[in-house]
Amino acid sequence: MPQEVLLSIIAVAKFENKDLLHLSLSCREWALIALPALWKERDFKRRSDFDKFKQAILSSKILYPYGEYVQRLQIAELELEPPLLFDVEMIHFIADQCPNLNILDLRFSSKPHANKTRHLPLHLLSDRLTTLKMMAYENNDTETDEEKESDNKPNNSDALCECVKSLRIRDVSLTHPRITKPELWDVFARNSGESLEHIKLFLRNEEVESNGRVFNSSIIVEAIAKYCSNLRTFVFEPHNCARVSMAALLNLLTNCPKLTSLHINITSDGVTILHNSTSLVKVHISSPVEGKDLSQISRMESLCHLELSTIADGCDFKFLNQLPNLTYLEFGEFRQLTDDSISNIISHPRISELRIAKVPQVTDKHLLMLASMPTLVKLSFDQDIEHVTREGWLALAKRPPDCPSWLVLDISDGRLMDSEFFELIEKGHPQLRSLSVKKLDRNLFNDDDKTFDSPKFKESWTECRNITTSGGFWWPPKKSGRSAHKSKLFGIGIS
Amino acid sequence: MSASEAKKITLKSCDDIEFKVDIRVASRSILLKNMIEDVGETDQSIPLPNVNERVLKKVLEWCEHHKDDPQPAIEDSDTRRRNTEIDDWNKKFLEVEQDMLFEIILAANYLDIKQLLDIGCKTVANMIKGKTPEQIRETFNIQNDFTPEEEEQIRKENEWAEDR
Repeated sequence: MPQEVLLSIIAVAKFENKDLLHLSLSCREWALIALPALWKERDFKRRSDFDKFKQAILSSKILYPYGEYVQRLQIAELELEPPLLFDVEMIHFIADQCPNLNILDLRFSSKPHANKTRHLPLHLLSDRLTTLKMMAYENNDTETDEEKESDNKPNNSDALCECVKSLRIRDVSLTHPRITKPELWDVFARNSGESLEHIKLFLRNEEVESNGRVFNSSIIVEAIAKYCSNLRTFVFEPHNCARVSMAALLNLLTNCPKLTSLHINITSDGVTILHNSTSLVKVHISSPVEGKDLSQISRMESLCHLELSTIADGCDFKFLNQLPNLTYLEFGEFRQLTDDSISNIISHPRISELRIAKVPQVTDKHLLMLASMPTLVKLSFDQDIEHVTREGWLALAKRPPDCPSWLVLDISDGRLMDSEFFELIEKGHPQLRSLSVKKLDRNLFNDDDKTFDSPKFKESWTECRNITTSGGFWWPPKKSGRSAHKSKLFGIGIS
Repeated sequence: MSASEAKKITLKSCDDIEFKVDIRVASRSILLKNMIEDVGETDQSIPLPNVNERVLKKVLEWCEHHKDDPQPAIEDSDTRRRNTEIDDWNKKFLEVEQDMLFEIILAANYLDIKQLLDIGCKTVANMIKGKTPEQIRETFNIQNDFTPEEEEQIRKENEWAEDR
């Protein structure tokens, strides 16, 4: 077999590590193909595993250059004994032995590190990394004993900033960094420059603001906007910090003309200036927005995907007229849903997927209206829906003849659903790809219900009745990995 | 039926057997599609020196069945893994002797028929999963060319892979 065919076999297969090892042991030809696949992505949580990794790479009798195969490394400092700790020697080892490393994911322990993370020589890897992910990276105001003793005070070195300086790194993800020097964000953005395409920042106020103040998260957005003009993805979730100001957002939107995906925590009026970007395809606003600001949204031709975590007051959704190419809409925490809101949603000409979370006011009438929306094929309710009755679910299943088959239905509250709903879905929706319902009520089904024998859903019912406690129904069935469900739904066991 | 659908080309296997094929069917092969686009209409047969009659017949059967499928986009490994579900027709189509299966895969690779290559490879992958090295060798008639010391060293250096 030519090598490209052997590579194709590895590429299309979902091999477990064990399979790749066994394949490698079958003969030399397979070893040359399967060992690189086995070593391509390695992750470590235990000191002993990392020591074995080193031993194999440094073996005196080298059969295969394992270090060269490593493309992605994930290392986590956990409080296990003996501890696996990041140190200078570890980074030197990786730099010397893993020349093809692209992705490095370092998860520092949650304990304070006395700033040692900032001194790691990550710049040694900057000639090969394209993606850098770090959890609990630390560079704060506290001076370490080492630093106090140093002659070169003040010590301003920062491993993160030095590493991105190579202008190779396109993707950075920082989760809960402990960076209390605001000026460092400016250096980071300047050093990343135009190479940075994707950044995810998850901050916690207490870790970025040392004096109990509220962190001004706009300074980070301003810095990114100033230096990173090739940005495509920006995920910015500053927990308990000040929301990003309109001015900072405006700079980001105007200075980053390739920005397509934005997940951000902004002041509500920020939504009124989103149209200043003509590249945005996907927007997630994680902070509450007010209906009056949504009504001020201007036309955005490019936007296809909109998520609003919280709508703080009334909203008629007329703003959707300004988003003619929207295909995905998600909103949550919306207490003032009205018939008008739904009416304007179903009038949209393109929305095919709708996810509604924590909107308890949904009624039977709303389901009837949504069922009649000719473009809608994927629908999700992530909440308890108190006002929907059996008739509402039946209305959802009985779509008008000019409406397409449901492709995906994901319903968290199926307490009032009975077998008729499932029969209608099975008969009337041939294109269905996925159906999940939670909290089904045992009392609404007979033990010998014919629904349980339906050709399409039989396996899902068996799984649902045998192993779930929460009344969960999944089609296609989840099969493996559901051992967490301890007892049986409905109390009926099928052997 | 449109004019382009009616057009045919002639393919010649390495054992000199000719097949007259609808262009739409032949165009499932990117190699042939590009050739037809470059050369234009021709009465001459296109020789396929790497494919014999038996295999070409089988490959053309697949192309005929899939002639109306959209051409696949260029995909990464993850997408290929997700998209390579083997449906019942393809499963039955690939229920052949192992030699034939490998010849179909080689032909799909040579003719650049990505979907056929992927389902063929996935069929082989399914034959590998869950097997010990000895069973893999037995299944595919592979000669173990490692020394016992080498085999032991690879086992030892990779024993971590047995746990996950």
